Amino acid sequence: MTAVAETSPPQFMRKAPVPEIPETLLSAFESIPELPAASAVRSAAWKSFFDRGLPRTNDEDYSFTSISEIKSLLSRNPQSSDLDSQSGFQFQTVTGIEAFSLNSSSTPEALVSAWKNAAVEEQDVASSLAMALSPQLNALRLKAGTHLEQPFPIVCKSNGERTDAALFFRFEAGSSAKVTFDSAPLAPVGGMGGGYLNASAVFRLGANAELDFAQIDPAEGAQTLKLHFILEKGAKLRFLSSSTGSRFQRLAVEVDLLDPDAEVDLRGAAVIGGSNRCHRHILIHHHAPDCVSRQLFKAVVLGSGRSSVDGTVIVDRGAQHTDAKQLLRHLMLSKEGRADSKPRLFIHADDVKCGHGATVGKMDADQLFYLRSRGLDMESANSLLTHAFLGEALDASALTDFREAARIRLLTALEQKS
Amino acid sequence: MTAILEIKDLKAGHSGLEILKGISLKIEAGEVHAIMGPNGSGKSTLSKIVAGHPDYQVISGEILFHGKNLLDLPADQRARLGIFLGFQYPVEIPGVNNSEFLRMAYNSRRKEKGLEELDPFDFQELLTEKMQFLEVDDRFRNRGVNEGFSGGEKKRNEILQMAVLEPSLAILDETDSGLDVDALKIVSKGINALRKPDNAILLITHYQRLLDYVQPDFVHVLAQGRILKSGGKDLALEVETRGYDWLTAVA
Repeated sequence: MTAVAETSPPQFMRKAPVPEIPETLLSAFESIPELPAASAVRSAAWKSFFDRGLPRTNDEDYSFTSISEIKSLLSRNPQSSDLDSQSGFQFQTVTGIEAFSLNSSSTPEALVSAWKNAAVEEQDVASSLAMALSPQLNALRLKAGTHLEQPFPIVCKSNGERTDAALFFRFEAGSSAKVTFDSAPLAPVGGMGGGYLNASAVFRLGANAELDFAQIDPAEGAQTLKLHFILEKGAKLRFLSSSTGSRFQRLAVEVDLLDPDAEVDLRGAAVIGGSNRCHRHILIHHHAPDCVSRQLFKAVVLGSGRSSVDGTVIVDRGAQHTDAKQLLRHLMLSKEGRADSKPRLFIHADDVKCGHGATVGKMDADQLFYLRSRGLDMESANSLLTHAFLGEALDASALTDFREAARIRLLTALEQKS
Repeated sequence: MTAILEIKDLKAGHSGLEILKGISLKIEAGEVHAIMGPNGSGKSTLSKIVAGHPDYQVISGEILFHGKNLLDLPADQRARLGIFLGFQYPVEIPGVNNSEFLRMAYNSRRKEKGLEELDPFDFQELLTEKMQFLEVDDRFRNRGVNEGFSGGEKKRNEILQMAVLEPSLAILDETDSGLDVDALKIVSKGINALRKPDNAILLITHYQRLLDYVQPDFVHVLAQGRILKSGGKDLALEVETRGYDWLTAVA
């Protein structure tokens, strides 16, 4: 079992005065019972958080996000561990998948240390807090060589003013799976206008493991979600994210391509209308040579909706023959809406193919005229072009049922908020 | 009998620039007209004005379609009434399925006529027949509209759309440009197949070559925003031999 601090809390937790760290968080962390495996992850996560503190003005990672709002959400009083067990990650284990709770002592050491490492490296403070404060720490493992034919649904529920939830999922070598990730509608709470879910999930894919992953944001409440994928040699990830935004949504996706020949294809489709907001923060890190990464994020902005995509690709010095492409596109259907894109490449190797682009624009006038010149009225032509715009991001997912459900939700949002 | 298209002293342009400086043209049912002219003469402007492109403005004059004033109607309404514009540069629309789009277009026209819409199954049969006639590869059926098509394939797709929509007036804007001889023959076959006593075709072309395959009843030379000369097929041959200078010099 991993070594855990014998005294609680460790020294770094209280370097008084700590004006940046709200008392609510300090006392919440201190009140969590010491349990060996869980504490290994929690302590590492808390240290990551403590070293960075809450987001500050001019924090690059929150360029397009309201700092005061995210600080206010992250400072809310965390739900204590003895509250109902209906919140947090929910799943039904199936043949081939083992589930562990880090609150018990049965979790294999390899899972605990892999999760702890991810917690040590975590740069996203919301995610660090989710790992540090989640009442449950769930770890899942798909056994080597297992192929899950049916999609494996993971649901993350929140119940109350704030829920922190954390999960670690290990896909062993040569396994393959389809996973859907759904955050259930958040219970409305008076005052702040809805519940808040802060969730973190780490997915580590072993050699040649393959994962098809699709995620949909909740339609209400506030959410900060971090999805971290770590790919070993030859592993492949296909990822779809869809969102209609809400009062506050921030999705952070981090992909570490640790070993050669790993491939990732990230796609996102969003329709952000009304006064909804949706922020996406993407980081793809090529650590090793011969890896491929693709990013295609598309969002339609209506009404006073606000969408931002902050996408970064880092290519390490040794990551030769990297093939990375990134395209962030916004379609603006209103004057009041706002879209921000920040495509960034940091390349430290000299023999790579990297491309990136970002567009923010209105409906293409030539395409519109072409359709109308064939008899389609303005509404049908607009709708056809909007569907086509989103389709490019949606169509590639192999999770057909989930993808079509997401499509319906996006198209419904288009109709309601246009 | 009312003409299919009647243009009366049309002055029109783009971005405040007057390009057409008084065009009059009458096209009766069953006729094929060709408009030839040098670059920048206003040929494409004329086609876009008739089709209702929102970026082009009519300054004065009239355009009647089957005796009805077109100028107040948006492009889609004109299309549903039976005007088809074959684009000089057809746009690519990734993500919009070619056959699904054509079915929507076809049904919009049927709806306008008060006919029942065709279901996807019946429409596919109709499309198959037209595709075979125009020797269009079946893989184009479910591709995005013009997506990744070569120049010739795009033009052939325009003719396929025309064949499916069976317009009352087809305006083909330099449909022949960029085509090799084989493609030109197929495109001409499509145009000739549309030629019927109750409809009309307006060919806009830079060269006489297309007119070897599609025999026009009338040829007009457009230059500097005006029709300088009208005649029969011989005028096209004369232009081919002598160029446009002798006409513009007279003007």
